[in-house]
Amino acid sequence: MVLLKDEKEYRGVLPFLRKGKCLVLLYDAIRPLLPQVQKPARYTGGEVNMTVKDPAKMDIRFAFCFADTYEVGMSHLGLKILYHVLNKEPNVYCERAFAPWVDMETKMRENHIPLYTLETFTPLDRFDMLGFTLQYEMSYTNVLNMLDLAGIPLLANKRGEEWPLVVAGGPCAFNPEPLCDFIDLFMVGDGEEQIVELVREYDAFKKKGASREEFLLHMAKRQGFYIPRFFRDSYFENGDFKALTPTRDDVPATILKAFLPDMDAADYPDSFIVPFTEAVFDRVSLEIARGCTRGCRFCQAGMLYRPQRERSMETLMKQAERLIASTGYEEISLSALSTGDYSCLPQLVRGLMEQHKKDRVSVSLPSLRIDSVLGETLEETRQVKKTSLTFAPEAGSQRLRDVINKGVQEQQLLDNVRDAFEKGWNGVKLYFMIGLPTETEEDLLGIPALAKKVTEQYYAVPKEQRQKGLRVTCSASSFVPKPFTPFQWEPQNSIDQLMDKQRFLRENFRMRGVEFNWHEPHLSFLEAAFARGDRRLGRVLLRAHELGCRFDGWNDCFRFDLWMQAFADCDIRCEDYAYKRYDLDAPLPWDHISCGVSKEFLKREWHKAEKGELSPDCRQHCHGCGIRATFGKGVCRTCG
Amino acid sequence: MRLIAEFEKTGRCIWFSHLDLQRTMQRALRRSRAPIAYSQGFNPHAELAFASALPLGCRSRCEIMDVKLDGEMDAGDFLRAMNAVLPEGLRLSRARTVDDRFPAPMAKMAFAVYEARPEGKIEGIKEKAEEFLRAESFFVEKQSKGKSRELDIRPLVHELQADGELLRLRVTCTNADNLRPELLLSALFPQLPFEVTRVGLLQAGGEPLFELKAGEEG
Ligand code: SF4
Repeated sequence: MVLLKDEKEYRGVLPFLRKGKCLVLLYDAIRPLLPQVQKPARYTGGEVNMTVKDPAKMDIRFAFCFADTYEVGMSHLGLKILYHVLNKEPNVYCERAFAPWVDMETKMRENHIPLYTLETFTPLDRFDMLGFTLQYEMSYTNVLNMLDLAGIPLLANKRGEEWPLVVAGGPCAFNPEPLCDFIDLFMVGDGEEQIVELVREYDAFKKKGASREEFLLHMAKRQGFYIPRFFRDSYFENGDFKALTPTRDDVPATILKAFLPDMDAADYPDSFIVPFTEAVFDRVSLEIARGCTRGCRFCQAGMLYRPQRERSMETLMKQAERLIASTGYEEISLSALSTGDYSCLPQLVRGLMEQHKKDRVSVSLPSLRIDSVLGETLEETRQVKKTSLTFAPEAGSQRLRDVINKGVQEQQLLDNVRDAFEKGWNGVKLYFMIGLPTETEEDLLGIPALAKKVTEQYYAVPKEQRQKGLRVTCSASSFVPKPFTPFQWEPQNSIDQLMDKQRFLRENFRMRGVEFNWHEPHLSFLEAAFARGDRRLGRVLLRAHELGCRFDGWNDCFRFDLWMQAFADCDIRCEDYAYKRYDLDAPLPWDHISCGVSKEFLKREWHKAEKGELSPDCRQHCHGCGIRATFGKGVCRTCG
Repeated sequence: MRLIAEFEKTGRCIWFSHLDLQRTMQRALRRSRAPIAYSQGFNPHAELAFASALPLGCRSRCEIMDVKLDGEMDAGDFLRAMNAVLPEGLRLSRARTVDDRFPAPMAKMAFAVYEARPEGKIEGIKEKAEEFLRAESFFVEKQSKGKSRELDIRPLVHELQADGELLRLRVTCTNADNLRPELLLSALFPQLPFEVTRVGLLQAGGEPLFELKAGEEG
């Protein structure tokens, strides 16, 4: 076999691979498949700023696994941050693997090609560690499918020392119970320092020749690490969850999230990998803040990432400069749960624009909040790039907005929209949620009514002044009760109820210039079950995988029938999870994990929701959510 | 002024499309800090054109790009600045500066020359090539926009030469007609993959598209 037909093709990979012939052969095996699949560049790596190291000289090889397509994964900021911090370690090589799209998966299975990393075409089973990031529940089948494609046993208890250690982090690691059968270790909380701690400890243990069990036990005692095998689940006779208890005395019963108090001190990449083929978000993103001060009662991220921490303008300007120089991107986007709340947003936007004026770099602000400091900022972003405006009133009536603590006044929203239309915007996106606790028909009717008022604002602007072609898009997603929110005890609306509500809205949504779209309620139903799931759902997940479920979040791949079969085969009812109303005092399957927010606070918020009482922004008033008590004085900017 | 440069597309870079190439070059130009001229409008981009789109999966030694500058830059400096920021697999080999009135390379495109090397054993390669050239017409199925239609590719092929195991093709390659070698190869030799390299872009008279004037750096 001629190994080097085109030597350049292997450059970056080959200097080291000459030694390990079989890796070169893997690439040779993949090559003939590439012309037969869509967007083959997703499977070949080699992008600008990809890290190149000699695997033979590494102590630890880490495969960062993203359980979705390349385009989605490469848009994810967490991947960029963790790839950077891991590769900064001189003895660690972090590489990437994504879920191959179905055409490629079929070809790989037909040709017995194991899932491999893009950096060096190394099969995943050769790595010390695989790290999955869990962004949303409906990617769980992809986690299993990726392990399976790599020929790695799915069940953690079937993997001996010869297999990679499988770890996972991300928002879903706050209630990881449905995945406990498959994952050796979860990382809970801010990942950038924690993951470095993990690989360093692992390296030390490996060098000592210690066993995996010893290593895991050691990690179980450290903040932010959850090792499911050291816990046992139990249930009441009626099937309700009872408790999760450590199997050993020396394992702490509660896992407190890892926490970075100072965002300026946190590491941030100097360069991003620039995909050849377009990613969903293909630009420089600056994480201007983590956490949120708003306290919307349905929002899990708002609770998990408390308190809100900002990066200073100075740090951000420096990061932007380096990233623009190293990537050649033409756009900077500001990222945060609530971008508009950043303390000196107008100054930052102005500063960035000034700094990059001559390079024609544009600045965009996604997830603009409805009551943000628009005015000036709005004007400025427009000079460079006209992004469509996004508002998330979430509920149609003031009453329901008060229940969910979305302290947004209709008049405010309309004023902002009017302002935007006057300044030449013609596109507005409105996000709503249906199936929220206490929702009535009246609340639902508020949704089209609000959309109507938005269009009226547009037509009220004189014709010569406004931009032609009004486009209002209203999206209604379905409420999913999530752990660690004041609504964690609430049932989800049934699929039938949600479909009725969608139908009702469609009928009331016939207006010019307005588009209404809604989410697949069946998917939300499963999401609700897995979001609040316990360990018993692991069996269902495995069964769904065996039946062929994957890419559940993608319309063309989602197979509700197979999912229902999986539940039936395991004799478990999805309804029992999604539609369950928990007692406020009942033990919850995620009680052993702590995001720093106390259950008492969540209960108080639940009661306030019932009465429709607002809890103002943390910046106005501290509600004693427990963060300060947990992480000490001074962690919250506002309450000291 | 403008810069016309010849570059290679090889290695892992053969797996992305022409659209991806445009984006990749745009960003490389930004990283190189060359004084590029930007277009007007809300999405300013470098004024950049390519002589011809290269089919996905095909290597090339002779792609040509044409970029407008907003200031002076020496061709040699441009070459070095770009090669320092391009990914493995894209490399500028030669460049020359021309003034704004210089005709666009795309307008002069007439033929492309490819070399195709079979990745496996192949019988009667010479006979097949000769037989093809003797034929008056040669119809193949072409898929475009979900529809398949019959296309006579014979008039688009001007040279098809077997040199040992290597096939050399000269085909029409203009804005209007651009024969992908893949179409011909898969019709002649079904099931057999080829490693295809574009080795020349030619003008109507057969002269290369990219020429350096005497004394120019490259
Ligand atoms: S401690 Fe107070 S200010 Fe800090 S996050 Fe909790 S409620 Fe907000």
